[in-house]
Amino acid sequence: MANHIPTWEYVKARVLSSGSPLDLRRRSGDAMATAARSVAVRQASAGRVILALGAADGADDASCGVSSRGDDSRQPASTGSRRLETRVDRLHLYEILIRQQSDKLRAFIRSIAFDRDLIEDVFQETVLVAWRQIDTFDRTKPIGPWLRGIARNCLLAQARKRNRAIIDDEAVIGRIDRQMAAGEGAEGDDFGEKSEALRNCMERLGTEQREAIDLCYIREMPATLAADVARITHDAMRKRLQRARADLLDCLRRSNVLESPA
Amino acid sequence: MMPRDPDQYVDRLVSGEPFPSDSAGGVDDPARAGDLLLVHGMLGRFAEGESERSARSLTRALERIADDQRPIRFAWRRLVPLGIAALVMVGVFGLWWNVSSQQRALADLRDGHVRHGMRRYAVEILRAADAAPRVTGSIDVDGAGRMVARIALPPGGPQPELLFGRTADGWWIAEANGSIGHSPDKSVVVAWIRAVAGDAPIPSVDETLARLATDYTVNWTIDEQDPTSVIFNGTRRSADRTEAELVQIRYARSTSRIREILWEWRPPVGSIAQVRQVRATLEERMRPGEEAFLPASLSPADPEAPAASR
Repeated sequence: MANHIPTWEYVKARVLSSGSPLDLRRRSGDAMATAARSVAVRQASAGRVILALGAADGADDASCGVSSRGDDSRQPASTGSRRLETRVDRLHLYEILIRQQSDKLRAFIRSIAFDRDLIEDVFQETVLVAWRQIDTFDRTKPIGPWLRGIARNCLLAQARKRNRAIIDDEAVIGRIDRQMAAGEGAEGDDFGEKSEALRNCMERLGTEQREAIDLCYIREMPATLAADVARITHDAMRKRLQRARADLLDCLRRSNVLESPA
Repeated sequence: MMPRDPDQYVDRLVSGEPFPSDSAGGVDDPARAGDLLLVHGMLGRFAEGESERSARSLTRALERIADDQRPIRFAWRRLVPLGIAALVMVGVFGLWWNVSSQQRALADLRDGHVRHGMRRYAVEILRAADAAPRVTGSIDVDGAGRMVARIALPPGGPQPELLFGRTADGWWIAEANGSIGHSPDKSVVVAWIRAVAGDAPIPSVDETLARLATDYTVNWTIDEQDPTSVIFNGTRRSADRTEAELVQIRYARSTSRIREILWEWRPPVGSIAQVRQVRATLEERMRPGEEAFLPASLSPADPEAPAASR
């Protein structure tokens, strides 16, 4: 697996060296990459250039935006050379960056929000706001915490707006964020590795827990329906799920994928 | 009430049961609760519909970004008011230029009429089809408001000729008994013509030129037959039906002379005369003398004076 730090500079360097962002897209090869590319191609075919005016021009929303730039942070590259970049180039870079981060970002959102529509809307809002505020991002730092900060603010705004409950326990959310941040900025695709480890742990589950995970998470059945399928009570299904999550957590901790409590 | 046990706490959260938003603070082990929630969030990645949902969401987000940008279209939108303003300015300028040029042309027409001085126009009066044959005559003008009209009347009438004119002092007309009727306005002429021809028109080059800009909508074009000439076409917009419905003036720019004036009434005017059209054509070689415009010479003591001026 290629080692890289998923920062703006890295992606830019990678794209410029490879000559095309498609190499990176092919590696993931999912439908999302195709969809993202189609938008980018439409952008390019429409001749929308002039990157220098780009994202920050529309950075007016800020209802859920954050800034990662401290007093000592360097200015985003607003040099003449950067102004020569095209909007298409910049959007390509952003697509790649977001695609690399999307699984992790979506997992974070799913960890603290439990309404499917809310999750999707917050994800889209986060991608949009991050684009608008990309110039406020300190590119010397990993982008993950910055995106999660935006997502969290978006979640709070959307939850208030829709009167939906989300987790607002700072300790709990802080723990999730720290676990996700572990490995960011280091070598490797940390979330891909964690996901792979989780898949391995799923295979080690007992039959009943494995079935519960398969019905409720893989096939996305409600617990009541899964209980009917498994011919057990609803409470029994919830217990199996609860047990399965605990077993998976133990497995991930044993594998050092997730940090154990001090 | 949310359970304090982290496993039960997470179970309650992810099961979809409603929970109070301020109840999360009571969990005993936030680290474990966070880790379990993270496992829950990570498991969602393996859901069968997750790949499609993720792609759809990202596409929508990128489309929103695309809609958010559109610098070129935005720039054009910003230019639209300027473009409209420019078009309005061009239109206003064009209208001003058109009006201005038209006014200049009319001014040239009037100036030329004044500068050119004394001259004679042969007059041809066309009447309605079922009325008497056409009538001819002449109009002498001097460009300074003076005029003399001589219109041959049909045989059998009170006099062989209609003779009237205008001086600086007013209008005059040669009565049938040879005397001269005077009045400061046209009434003396109108009364006589009304008695004989029934409200027949009294076309006047000076009056027409004076009223052309105010009583008519005028367009002008270059005469295709003679590019040195300009044709003014006036359509009456005033309510005065004694004025001709249409006026056409052919003006020679090279000589500053009106070559022809055509008055046309629709319907014909004059209950007896039934005048449909009066055409006055410049007689290039005829130049009336000063005495032609003097009504005093038409006194009974000198009834031949106008004829002598021809």
